[in-house]
Amino acid sequence: MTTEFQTLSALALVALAATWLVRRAFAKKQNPDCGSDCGCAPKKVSSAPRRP
Amino acid sequence: MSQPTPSLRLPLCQLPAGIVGRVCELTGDAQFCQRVREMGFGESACVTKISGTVTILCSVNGNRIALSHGAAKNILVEQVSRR
Amino acid sequence: MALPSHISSTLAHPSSTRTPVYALVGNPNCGKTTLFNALTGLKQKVGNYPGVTVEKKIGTAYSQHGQPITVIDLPGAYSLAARSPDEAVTRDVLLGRRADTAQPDRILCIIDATNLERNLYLVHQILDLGRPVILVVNMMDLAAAAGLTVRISRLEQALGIPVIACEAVNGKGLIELKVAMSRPDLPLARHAWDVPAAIAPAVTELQASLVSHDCKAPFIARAEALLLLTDHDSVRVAGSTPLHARTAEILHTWQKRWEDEGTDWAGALVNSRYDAIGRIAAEVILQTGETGPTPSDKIDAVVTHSVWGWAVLGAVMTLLFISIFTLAEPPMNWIDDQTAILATWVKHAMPDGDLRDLVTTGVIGGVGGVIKFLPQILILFFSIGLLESTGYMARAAFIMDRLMNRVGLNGKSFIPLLSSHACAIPGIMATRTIEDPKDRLVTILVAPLMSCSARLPVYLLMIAALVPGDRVPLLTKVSIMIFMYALGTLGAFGFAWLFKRTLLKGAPPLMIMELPPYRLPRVKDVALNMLERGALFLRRAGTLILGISIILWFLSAYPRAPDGTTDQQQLAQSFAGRAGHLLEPAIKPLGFDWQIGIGLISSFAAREVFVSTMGVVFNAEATDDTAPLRQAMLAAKWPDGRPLFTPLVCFTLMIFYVFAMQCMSTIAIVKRETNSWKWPLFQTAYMTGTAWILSFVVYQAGTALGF
Repeated sequence: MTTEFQTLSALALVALAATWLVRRAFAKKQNPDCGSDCGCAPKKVSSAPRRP
Repeated sequence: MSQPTPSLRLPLCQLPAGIVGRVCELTGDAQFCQRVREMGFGESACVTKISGTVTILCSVNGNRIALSHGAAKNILVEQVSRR
Repeated sequence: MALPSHISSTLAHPSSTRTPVYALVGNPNCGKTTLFNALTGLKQKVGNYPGVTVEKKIGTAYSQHGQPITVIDLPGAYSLAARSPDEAVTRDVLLGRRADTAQPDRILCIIDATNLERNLYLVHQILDLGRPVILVVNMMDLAAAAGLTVRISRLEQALGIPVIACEAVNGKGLIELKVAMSRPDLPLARHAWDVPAAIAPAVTELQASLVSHDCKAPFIARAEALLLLTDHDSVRVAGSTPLHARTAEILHTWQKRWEDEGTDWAGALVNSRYDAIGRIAAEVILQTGETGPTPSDKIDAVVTHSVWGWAVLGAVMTLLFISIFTLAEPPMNWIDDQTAILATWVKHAMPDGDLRDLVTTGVIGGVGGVIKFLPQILILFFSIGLLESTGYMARAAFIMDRLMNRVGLNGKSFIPLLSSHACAIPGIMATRTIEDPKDRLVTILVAPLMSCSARLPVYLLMIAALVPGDRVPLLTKVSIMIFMYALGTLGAFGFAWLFKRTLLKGAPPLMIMELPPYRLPRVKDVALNMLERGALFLRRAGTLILGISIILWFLSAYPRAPDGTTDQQQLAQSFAGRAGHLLEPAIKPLGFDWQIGIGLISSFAAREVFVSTMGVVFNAEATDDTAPLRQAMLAAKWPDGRPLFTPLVCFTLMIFYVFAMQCMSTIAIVKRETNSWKWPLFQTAYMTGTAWILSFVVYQAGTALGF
């Protein structure tokens, strides 16, 4: 694995991550649902014991 | 008047612990009155004071309800008996 | 009155064309969620009602013949006269007002057998809707233990609807319930109660107007007429379906007439319902056993005592925080070791280069640094879940009410604030049970000041750097941590006090809160909830934090410095370094340099990112010859050779994190809850401003005192 190859693939990963983060930010605006943060219940759960 | 008569009205916060009182009047705004009525504190409901003088704990229809002092002050009861 | 055609058709063909829809309703704490879980098992979908953050839970149950039945779990309510956003959802779904949710065909009403009268109030209102209702009397075991016999057949006769005795916790009565739910025909209630004579003509007139002007179905119109006459605020009752001018006029005319006559119209309706319920209860409930103090009474004598109550609350909180440290330590060390092993393996397997650097520093260092805190987060969520399911949480609110009153809130605000210790988002969502909009807003504004689990990694790192020596004594850790939590709590109370006196003036709200009986915790439910939150945390670490870590690595590695420069020089001239340098003048008075500045900027996305940023900035790769992050940070110096992370700086940094609003998700949820950008922006400004000012004071005073 040459140094150039490593640099190129690292940069490709960075670009991928950046695209994904930007898309995620925009997708959230379109969908007014709670999302996937720590306080939001997932869309499908095995059981969701919460206060009744 | 030094001797308390059975019909003496007093706010729920002043009812001694362990004593049963009958709600005879709800003062305070209409919203508040409706809320407490729906929770079971309607006129003529029997309330047992459990504890507290500031935030009070009482039992009505077998369920335990916590009331802040401002709320308890607005519920006038007459002492009925010891539990 | 003749049956409306839609009801007769529902009865005739319950499942011929589509799956029947049941709404599950009941008072809070009557075992509704347990029954819902028992009925639907794994077939659940959780979402939100659009426009409000009220959880919408829909599940599929199966009849005895295997036919699917849709069950909608509605938020718990004491009455259809809704006061809070979640009660309004229950009312609106039942009245068929929500466009996003079909009006249920049938209603499954669950009540608590130990508390029949109050629970029957909601049932009584629901029977007015003219829908087929099945009544589930839950907690029959607890009623028997309290010496109460509930005569189910008498209740069935009195109401004219199927009544099923049930113990949802043990699954008793479920088969009978499913049989009843599969019945093609369900009788409508023999629901006779005397609307007080003074009110009855108004009900008839309003009903007629609601049918002809507001286009409501006859039964719904009657139920709405009764609700309008139970609440002084007709706009709130009408909710999303404002009244036709004619209907409003009829209502006002009647109200005016009663007020002139001195008739307490709203009270009369509630009281007459309770009279009717009282007659039913007298027939149905037999007091067979002793009526001495129940176990709950005995526990409450201590737990809600004016002195012992505080001691118990203090002990519970201390135990909670100690267990976070002691129980979590072994699994945390294990995770640490595993990341180190993984990083070493990658180092040996790959030749030197950017990709290897990205994987070891960015991915393994960044994500591993955050995943390490999973055990503590699991313990925190488990403990809070346990406190809720035993019934202690309501007692804690009771104890705190006096204190909360001093700052202008009531005990009810305490539960969202306590939940915010796990995460501000569920805390903010829990404020929907607070009735007064101003109090709800104040609680939302101060909730993120409670130290959440995302701050834990930052505190722990700083404590490790702050206290010298390899092994930090547990007591020192716990006391610094308790101090930080106390500071956040104090800050929250202080700001609540300030807001209630300035921006959102109002008298302290009156608290009326039910204290549920103590129950053995449903460990399975609590554990499931904990695992769910844990999975969400891992997902976040594997997605958002992974993404940010990769970007951060890039920002700190590029643009490349010429060959031969040190790591430090490379960082200084990278994108991240330049941003940190830009910020440095603003944070230098707090004792922070540009490297900490990078951490502050990146942790705006999420607080725990600070730890992984420090990992990237100080190049502390997870390796087997662990010179962990702590050592790397302690070795960091200012250009003039002074150490960067002095105990004072670590302390100041913790104080900064206690107060600063460093969480995009919270900002987003506050925006949704308050429906405007004004409040989240105000919140960010006041919190971050306070963080800066306090950090400035602490650092400058500390420096002056020679620390």
